[in-house]
Amino acid sequence: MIIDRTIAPPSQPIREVNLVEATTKYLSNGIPVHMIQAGKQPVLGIELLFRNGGIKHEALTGACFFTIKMLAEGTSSKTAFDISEYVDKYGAFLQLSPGVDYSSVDIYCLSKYAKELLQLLSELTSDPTFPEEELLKFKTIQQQRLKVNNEKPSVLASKKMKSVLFGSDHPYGRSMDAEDIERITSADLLSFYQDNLYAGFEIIVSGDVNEEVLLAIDQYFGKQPVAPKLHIQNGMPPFSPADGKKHIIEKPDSLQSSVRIGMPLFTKTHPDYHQVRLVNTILGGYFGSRLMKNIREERGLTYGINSGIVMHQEAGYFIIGTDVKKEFTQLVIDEVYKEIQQLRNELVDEVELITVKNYMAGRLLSSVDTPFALAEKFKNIYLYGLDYDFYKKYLNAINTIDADSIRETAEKYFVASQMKEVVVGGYA
Amino acid sequence: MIDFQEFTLDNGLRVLVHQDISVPMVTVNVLYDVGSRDEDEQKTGFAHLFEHLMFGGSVNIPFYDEPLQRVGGENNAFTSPDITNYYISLPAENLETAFWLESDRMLSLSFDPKVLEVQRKVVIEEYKQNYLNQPYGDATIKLKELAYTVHPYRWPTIGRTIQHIEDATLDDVKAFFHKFYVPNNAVLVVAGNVELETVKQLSKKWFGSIAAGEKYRRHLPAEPPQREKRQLEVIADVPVHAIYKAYHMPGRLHASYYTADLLSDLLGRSKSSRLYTQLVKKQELFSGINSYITGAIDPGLLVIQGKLNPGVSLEEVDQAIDSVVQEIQQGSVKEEELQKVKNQAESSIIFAEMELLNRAMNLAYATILGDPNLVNRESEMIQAVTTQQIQQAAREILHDSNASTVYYIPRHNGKA
Repeated sequence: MIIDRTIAPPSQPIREVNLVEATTKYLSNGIPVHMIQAGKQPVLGIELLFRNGGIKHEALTGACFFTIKMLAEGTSSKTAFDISEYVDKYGAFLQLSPGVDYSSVDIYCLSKYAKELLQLLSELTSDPTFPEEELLKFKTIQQQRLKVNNEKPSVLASKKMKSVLFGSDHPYGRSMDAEDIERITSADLLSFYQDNLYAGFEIIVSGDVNEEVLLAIDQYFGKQPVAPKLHIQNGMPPFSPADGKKHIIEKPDSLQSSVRIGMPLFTKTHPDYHQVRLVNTILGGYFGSRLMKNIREERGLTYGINSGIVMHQEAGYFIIGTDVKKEFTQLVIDEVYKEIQQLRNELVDEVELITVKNYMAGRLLSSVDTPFALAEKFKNIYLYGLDYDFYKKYLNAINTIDADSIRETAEKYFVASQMKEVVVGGYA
Repeated sequence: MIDFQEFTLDNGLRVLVHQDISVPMVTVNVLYDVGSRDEDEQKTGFAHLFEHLMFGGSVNIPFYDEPLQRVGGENNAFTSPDITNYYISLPAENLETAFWLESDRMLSLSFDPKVLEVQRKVVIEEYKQNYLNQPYGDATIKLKELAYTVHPYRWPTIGRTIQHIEDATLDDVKAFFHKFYVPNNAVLVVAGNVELETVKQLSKKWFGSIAAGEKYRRHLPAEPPQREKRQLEVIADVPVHAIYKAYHMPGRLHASYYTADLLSDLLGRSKSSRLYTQLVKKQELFSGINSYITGAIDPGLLVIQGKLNPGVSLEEVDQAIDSVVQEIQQGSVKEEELQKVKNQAESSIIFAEMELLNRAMNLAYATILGDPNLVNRESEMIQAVTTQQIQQAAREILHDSNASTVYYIPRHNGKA
């Protein structure tokens, strides 16, 4: 058989993406349980979602982080070791995730052990003791970790960019330092726990969700007291971005510069969100992006450069990140602005447009293939006041946008004069 | 359980099909049986550099990535000491695009000199970003250099020095391609929403006409048994002291491979492990410590690594690690504790198998190990390990004369 290898085989566009949606029911005490029944493996993800338990809700820097992390360090009847051994014995994974807007405690387990792990989850979140001696050990560990992380150029650069955009005291901009860690006490944890975590959570369960699992959830969570109606606290202090455009952390011995270029953005509920996301993808959001082609594939100045959009509940930002050969730091920054300028001035050609559209639709299709990924998809709308229409609109926006509106979107939102620069390393 | 069907083309390309109609996607995984262990010691880092060149256009298709993205697909690759693995994930209805792209670059690359020049620079930046410009970034490089004296595992996949990457020529590239990138040195796995017949037909159509190459026969120098302990002190720009210890252990197909794997889990997989409980929680010597195996096909390493708390000396923690090890050598691991790490290992397998890509990669890897069905026997082999075997493995592996230790000492040794 003679085949012409220069011609691509026929292909089809992605017209629809079917994703399994969450359904919600309420326990006898009113706690919402969001269920995603999907997948073939006998596994479960169980997440307790503390919507008032985020960093933005803390009065003292570090309170959220330490309280969430210390939930597994002791209860009235279990030591820290008992807890970790219990989790490991069932081959489960416990994930304690403090976050800026909300926090969560997750268990991933085989569904046959659902009951045992629900019991543990209930104990950790209803009866933590925050033992003094475990806190001291944990603080030492965090101090050491902080020292190591502060030597990593990419960590420093990302921290700096957050504080430049939002202000170093703002919940979206601040990072814990050694003094914050030193200052925190058991009493601080107990008070954050009582005010922000206790009796104030929702449950997300995904995977092999069967009747037995639901009964067990009710058994362990349906009887405990809850606040009459969870009042979600939003609202935050005004942003206080740093003055000036260029921010540098000098590292004379460094071989590379870790570079960030960023600017504030709206949130996910904004009508132009999907369009901005698409412009971002063209610029630096995938392997074939303009920044990758220019800085990596044409010039070989970096292992990677990408741009992304970070969406918090009450603000978002756009950020470009790369580690580059030090003497070319300024050249790379200049090229970034040139690429942005080009998106604002010139129309995207047909081939690139189709490539990006299909690529993005394909990523959506492949991002919903495990129950845990579906749980993320649910959180990504639910916590931002959106519904599943969001994904239909996303696909629709991708499929219908044209070169003119891409250029207009770039011109409206990708404004170089509003962007801030962070360099960890140097310019020469 | 990962079910599969297999067939081999006349040119020696082994093809496996794993059907999962619950997903709208397919994964196409091509594994080449070549890694950094197959490199010339004067030209290290080449297998990985070559992997970069595989994306620089093939004989009939000038750009690899773009046509794939255009049909909603995505791809990546990695190189290890043992293998080079390429994978594509794309909507099931566009499967043929993956066959078109993968077969053309197996047929021949474009060998464009510009691609070599640029990717050489990219890899050098990758080297700096991941190994040189990070605290402790070169630790495992130094550890392997100390632990191995003759086996090619002594150099890292990224290359022993940047110089080797700078020196690579287009002739090297061509020679490497003709030696290793032949159908009889590769395994193709197609997984997801696909039928066996479709894969048969597409495999024949796109890969069938690629000529087989000369069969590569691997003759690697075996690492001689280590006779006495080795130690290296590194003074570096790091903020805290750290220790890395490596012990030689059996290779992937040895009967006691899984015993050593579970031994490393008992020592330092998670927060209830021996090292963490004793040395982080009880004695407060470390801010973190863990243990793992390199998972290599030839005899590999069991590694223990940790970062020290302030005011603690490296000699002190080294001894403390030995005490934990000695308890295991004396037979202190009982059934219940062993069952715990078996359960962890088993659920890790199940969680990993949720991802289609992992199923495809595991099948390809098991095939070059000699039997694709190994993927379905792993649990059984883990469950078969006994406490006596753990004790024996601890005695055979975790002794001083089998250990290579690297100490990291902060250059500005102020307050530690």
